[in-house]
Amino acid sequence: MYGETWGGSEQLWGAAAHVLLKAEHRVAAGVNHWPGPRREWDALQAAGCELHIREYFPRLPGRLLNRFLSTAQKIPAPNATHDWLKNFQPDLVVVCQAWTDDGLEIMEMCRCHQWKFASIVQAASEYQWPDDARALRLREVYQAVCGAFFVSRHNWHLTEKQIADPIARGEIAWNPFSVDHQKPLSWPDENQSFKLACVGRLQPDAKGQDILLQVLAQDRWRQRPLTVTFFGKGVNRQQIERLAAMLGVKKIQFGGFVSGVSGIWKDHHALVLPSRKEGLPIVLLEASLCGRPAICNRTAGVPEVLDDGVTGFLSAAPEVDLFAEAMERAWENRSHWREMGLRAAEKVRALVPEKPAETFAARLAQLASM
Amino acid sequence: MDVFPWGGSEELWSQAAELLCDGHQVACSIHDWPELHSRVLAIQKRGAKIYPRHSAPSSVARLANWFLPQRFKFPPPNPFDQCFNEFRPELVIISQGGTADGLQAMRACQGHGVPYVLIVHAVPEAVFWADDRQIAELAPLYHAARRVYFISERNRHSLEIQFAARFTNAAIVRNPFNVSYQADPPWPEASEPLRLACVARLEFYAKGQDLLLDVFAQPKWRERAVQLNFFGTGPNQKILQARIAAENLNNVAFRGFTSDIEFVWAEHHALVLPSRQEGLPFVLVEAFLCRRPAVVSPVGGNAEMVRDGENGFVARAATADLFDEALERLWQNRSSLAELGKNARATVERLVPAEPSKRFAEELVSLAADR
Repeated sequence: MYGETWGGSEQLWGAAAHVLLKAEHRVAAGVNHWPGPRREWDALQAAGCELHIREYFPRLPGRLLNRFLSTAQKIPAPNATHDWLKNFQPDLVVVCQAWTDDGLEIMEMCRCHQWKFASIVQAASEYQWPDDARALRLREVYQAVCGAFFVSRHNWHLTEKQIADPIARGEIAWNPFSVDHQKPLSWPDENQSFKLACVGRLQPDAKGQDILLQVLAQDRWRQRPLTVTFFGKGVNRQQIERLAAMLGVKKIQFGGFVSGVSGIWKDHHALVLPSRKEGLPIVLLEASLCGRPAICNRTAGVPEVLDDGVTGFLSAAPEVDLFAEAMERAWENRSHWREMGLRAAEKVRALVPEKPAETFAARLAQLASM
Repeated sequence: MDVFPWGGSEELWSQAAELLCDGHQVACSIHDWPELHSRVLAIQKRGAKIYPRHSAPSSVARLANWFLPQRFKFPPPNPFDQCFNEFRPELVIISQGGTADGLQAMRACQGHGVPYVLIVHAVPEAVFWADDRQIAELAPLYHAARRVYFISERNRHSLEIQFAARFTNAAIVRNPFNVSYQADPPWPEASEPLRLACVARLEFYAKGQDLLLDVFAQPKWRERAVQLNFFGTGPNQKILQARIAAENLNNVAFRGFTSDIEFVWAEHHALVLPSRQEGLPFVLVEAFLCRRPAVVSPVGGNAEMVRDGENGFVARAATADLFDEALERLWQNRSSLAELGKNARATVERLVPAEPSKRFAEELVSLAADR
């Protein structure tokens, strides 16, 4: 957990921790020091979770002494993970990673102390490879892991390719979502115009908003009764706004960050998500469960939940001309969006458990007791 | 040049610097490596001044820094000051592997009021984008440059998208290459098996060799009379070799690093290069000079050089499926590859000058004179 206190990658372990605490398991969590608000941490603590905040640097006296000590003797940052884990005596350590190898050192530590451990990988990408040395170390830990959870088959198999070794204990974990599993929403009015929502962090190197804007800048799209709302926040918000202005794309707006996505889908007809990197977008699961089709790239796990031409439209890769073709097919089929959305809901409902955090927590409890 | 002492992106500036030592005063500010690269020594021998960039504070300041809280620590000195104060350049050439590595140098030029040109050797699209705060600083520095040299049109376009701004000072520059402009290696004698070479740094996120492994793992390619050879070295070499072995890819081999590119082409029919990001690959220019067609992904300048069916084949994106389609077109046209190779030679003669560094050096001279 780096860079943010509580991002998409934190939902699963956080929710599972609450479930396990309710079932009266002892749960402790180690998180990285973060100066921002700590609402979710406080909630976990209030529910009885032991919280250990990892510092990045030793305290001042330690820092001074370290100048004179050899590497082996150096005083570590306080709350080192192995110290509190040793006291806690875990039945199972769950190493939650945003990317494939973020938790490598912690997994190695578990292996070395013979603590049973499981891993979660929230995203893996062809644009991010461990080098040979790390790949060989990852191979060792994946052989020792008792459960290697990935959010998509793509991520699982890509990781296997990245370490050139099968991950026999791999399995799929579904992230929690915040919409109704059973009931798609009613179809919004389409007399004025079609409304697409692009929901994702405003960070085009991952989410590809620039690809969508370049398609919308084409003449044919300017004429069409269609608007796009960008939901989310991120470090490239101004850049995206200025790019839209530079390309002369007018029919877009920014919806900011929304916590209850049902609100988005009440009045938007489809999701558009031109990602370059993903695990499995939670927003795609949510849009589908709400009965909305999606236009996406074949990135990571997307094609595992989206059937091209049936529940939405797939572009073969994050390239402007390919995405334009998918958008074009979507537009030609706009009269079918409603039924495609219903099929999307049906498909995702069959794939995804109603309560992913409970399912995951039960699996962890099972692994811990094995 | 902060990560590796020497890479493809060092050729242009270093060759131009060496040429400019005749009749001009040249200074090079380079990363403070433990020892100078032999090419830098060669430039120094020709009379250029070398300024290694020291980035640590002086020893007194470092000692004081131990006891000072973060806010009051002595900052590291500007590593460019010495060069600017002693040498007083008329024009500074900032050569960057990516899009932001020259930031400190740009700041220094602006601070000293010295005109500068930028070279951008590659613009990754899916790896690192400057955030709003960084763009706010970088964009004006790009606009203030006398010229921004890109290696391909697509790179220029991508950076305009990333900065949400047009560059009126952009130009395209060609990199030098490592074969003779007159290179003419003989066409391999045997037409079977079809011999393909992938020549690139073994770094999958950029060069995409993993996609070729995915393609060649298919039964269709296993059964064909084709041999794929990988040349190069890099951080994913062991994984490449491990996968070739683990998946029993009998018609795929790792051949190590070679600098004799003409020899590679004497025994191969075509280049295959499934990159995920590029400027304009040296190996593509070199293969074309050697009359070999190429199968490439559309990143960087690839699609500006390769025309599908004319001098090679262009996959629509760097994915295994789409690269497989392009390779399939190559396979179906395998009897006319020598013909495509001739077209490739004509293309490269049209687009790449015989002496790119010399031409670049001349442009720099006229930019320096035109004040």
